[in-house]
Order: sequence, then structure tokens, then C-alpha cells
Amino acid sequence: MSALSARAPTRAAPRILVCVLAPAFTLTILILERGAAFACPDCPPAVTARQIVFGEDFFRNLAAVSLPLVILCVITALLWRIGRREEPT
Amino acid sequence: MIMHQQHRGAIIAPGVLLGIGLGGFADGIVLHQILQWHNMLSSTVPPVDLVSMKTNMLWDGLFHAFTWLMTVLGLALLWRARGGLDRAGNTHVFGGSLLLGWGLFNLVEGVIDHQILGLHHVHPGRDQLAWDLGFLAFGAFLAFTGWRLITAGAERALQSRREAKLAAYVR
Repeated sequence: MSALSARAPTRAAPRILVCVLAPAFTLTILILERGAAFACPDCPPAVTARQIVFGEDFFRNLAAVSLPLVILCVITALLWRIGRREEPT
Repeated sequence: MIMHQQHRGAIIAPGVLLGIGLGGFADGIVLHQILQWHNMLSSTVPPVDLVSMKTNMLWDGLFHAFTWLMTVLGLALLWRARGGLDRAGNTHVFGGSLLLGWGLFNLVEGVIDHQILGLHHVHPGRDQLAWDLGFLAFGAFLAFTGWRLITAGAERALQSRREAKLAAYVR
């Protein structure tokens, strides 16, 4: 058995897959948008981005765009669990 | 020295995440940017003027950011599983996981974004349903091939373990 594999995969990994991605992503967008607005408040890209981020459809669109990827994270977490129940490699 | 046996999920999960990420990049680069067949919201916000194009560009960027996160997460999990990668059958398992991830991306994205939410279609126009179904069929083919490779890898690993046990018993 290789010593390189000393660190066991933890139970936290599937939860991290599902729970961390979406909030971290939303926060990153907001930070980027605020950064762009701070750097150049009147530049057209910053104005457009601000209108999109603070528009009424933003979170609905964000949910729609992120839904498939959240589902894919859940499927990956399930595959992890199924693989754990099988014989070790 | 702490040692443990890695389970197969530790190889499959990073492969699937990397497959999802690379499949997403292939979709974004080829279909959104090079061929320009569709954008992320091109059915709900048709890119007919500069403002709507910029809106679609931003959502394309967010889609790419998601796939980038998937790729990073896949690399992180792959790094943790690196000690078990060179064992018998794991090349098949990892390669199959990559294909499975890409296929799952096409299937889930195709069903939700194209069919249920109608955010965009693969090639909008008269034959858009045929293109959407072709996209799903390609995804199903990739997922099936990936699953077969994973199964073959698992069988190879089992065979290798049996041979090792037999050799130890004979000795």
C-alpha cells in the first residue's frame, strides 16, 4: 500500500460538493461585480453588469443556470458513496 | 505510518467532476463561442442587439465559471486520490469516469436547460428538436461507454487481487 494514499477521503467531501459551490459562486459574482463597479463606475461593462446583477431576473437566472451543475454535484456525491460501498481498489 | 485502502469512489468522483468540467468547456468553447449556435440565455434573451449580447456574454461567463469550479474540485479530489491511481484497472476506471462525467453533463444540461427550462437550444431553428435529441444521444453514448470502461476496470482490479492472493497462498 502506498504511503501517498495515507490521507483517507472524509465523509465531508460529498457535502462540500453540494453545499459550498453555490454560495461560494454567488459571493464571487457579487465581489467581482462590486470590484468592476469600484474600478470604473461609469464604464459600459460595469454599468451593464450592475444592471444584470441587480436586475429582478438575476437570481432566477442564476438558479436556472446553476441547477444542472448542482444536480451533477449530487450525482457525483452519490457515485462517491456507491464506490465507497464497493470493494477497495 | 498511517495506511488505508482507497475505495473506488475516490477515483470515480474526481474523474466524473473533471469530465463534467471539460464537457462544459467543450460546450462553451465550441457551441457558444466558435460556432456561435447559442448562448446561455439565447432563447429567453435573444442576442439581437449589443445589450442583449452582453447579457448573454455575462451568463456564458458565469456558466464557464461553474465549469471551472467543477474542474478545480475534480483536480483537488484527484490529488487526494493520487496514491491509488497506478493500481490495476484504475486507468480504465478513471478514463471511464471522465467519459461518464461528460455524458452526464450533456444529459442533465440537455434535459434541464434545453427541454424543461428552454433557456437555449443546441441549434435554434426549424430542426432544433433534432439537434437537442442528437446532443442527448451523444451524452447517453458517452455515459454508457464510460460506465462500461469503469466496469471493465473494476473487473481487472478484482482479477489482479485474486492473482495476488493466489500467488501469496502458493508461496
